[in-house]
Amino acid sequence: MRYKSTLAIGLTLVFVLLLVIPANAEQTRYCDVYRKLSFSNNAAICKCEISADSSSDWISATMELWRGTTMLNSWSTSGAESISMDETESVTRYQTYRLVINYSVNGITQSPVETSKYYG
Amino acid sequence: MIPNDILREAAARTYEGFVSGLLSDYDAEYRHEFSSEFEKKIMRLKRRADHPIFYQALRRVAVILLAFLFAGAVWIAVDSDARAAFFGWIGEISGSYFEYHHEGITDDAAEPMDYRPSWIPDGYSEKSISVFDDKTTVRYENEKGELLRFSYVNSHENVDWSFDVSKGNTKSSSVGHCMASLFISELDSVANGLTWVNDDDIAFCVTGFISENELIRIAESVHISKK
Repeated sequence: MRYKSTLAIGLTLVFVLLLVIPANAEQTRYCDVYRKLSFSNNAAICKCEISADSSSDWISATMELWRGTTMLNSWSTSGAESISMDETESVTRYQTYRLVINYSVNGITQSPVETSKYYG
Repeated sequence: MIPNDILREAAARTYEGFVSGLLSDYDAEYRHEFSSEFEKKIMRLKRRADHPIFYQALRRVAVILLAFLFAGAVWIAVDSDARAAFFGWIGEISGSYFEYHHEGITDDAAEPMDYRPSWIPDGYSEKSISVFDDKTTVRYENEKGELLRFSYVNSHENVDWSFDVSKGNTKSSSVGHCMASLFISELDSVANGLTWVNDDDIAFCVTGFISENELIRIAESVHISKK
């Protein structure tokens, strides 16, 4: 009897999970990604803010700073509805730097956004 | 009026007198050397005299180009969209995003302004205001928990602003006389959005689970709330 009850509860949980996962997968959003890459005193100032359009949206993001094919640093954060990052990294002049934002909303990976700037 | 014949005769007499005067003093050993600058000027004059049609055409082309330049300058001065195309925010589709980036002159001295819509749809009330860097976002919420977001970016130096438009269609629209880009979602779970740039070169965005007309009405009600 106990075995049957455990099996029933287990199957119900699996069924509920199967329903919940696709429901979340549908929760794609009209996100906006604000980003800024600026330079001052041999430092790159990297900023980004991602906003989704529901209070329950969960955003996970990684901000990467690249010089050519070398990733200089990366920072991650996550939160509901909106997340922001404001970081600094030492850089040298006369090089082009690339700020790449990888993020997901409700577990769904979105297309990355990036910006390139030359520090002269 | 002096008749042409008399003028021609007088010119011929002057020429003869001038040439004979020159020849009397002429000494082949002490030839006058003209400066290279003078020689160049004479060569230029000769070239022009040899090809009169070419140089006339060249002058006409220069005049037409100047007229175009002047008309272009007037157009840029009068038309805000043309001005934006040269010196302001550029909005364009890039992959699955509509992106704003700024090109041209940056007026850092301009004092940041605070903007608010004077109209929002019934049932929404202000939930929060957040400021991150040069971006301000005001969130409104209705009883169903649906968000309405109004955002703007005051400064544009080194800023890029992207909007995910992969879940719907974008089309051109207008907010007053300013060009705008409207995003209409294909999914109930994705909000509609409207982005535009005003005459002061400030980029704005409104998103929410509301109609196209409501988005435009909110946008057209945006005003400076304080400096």
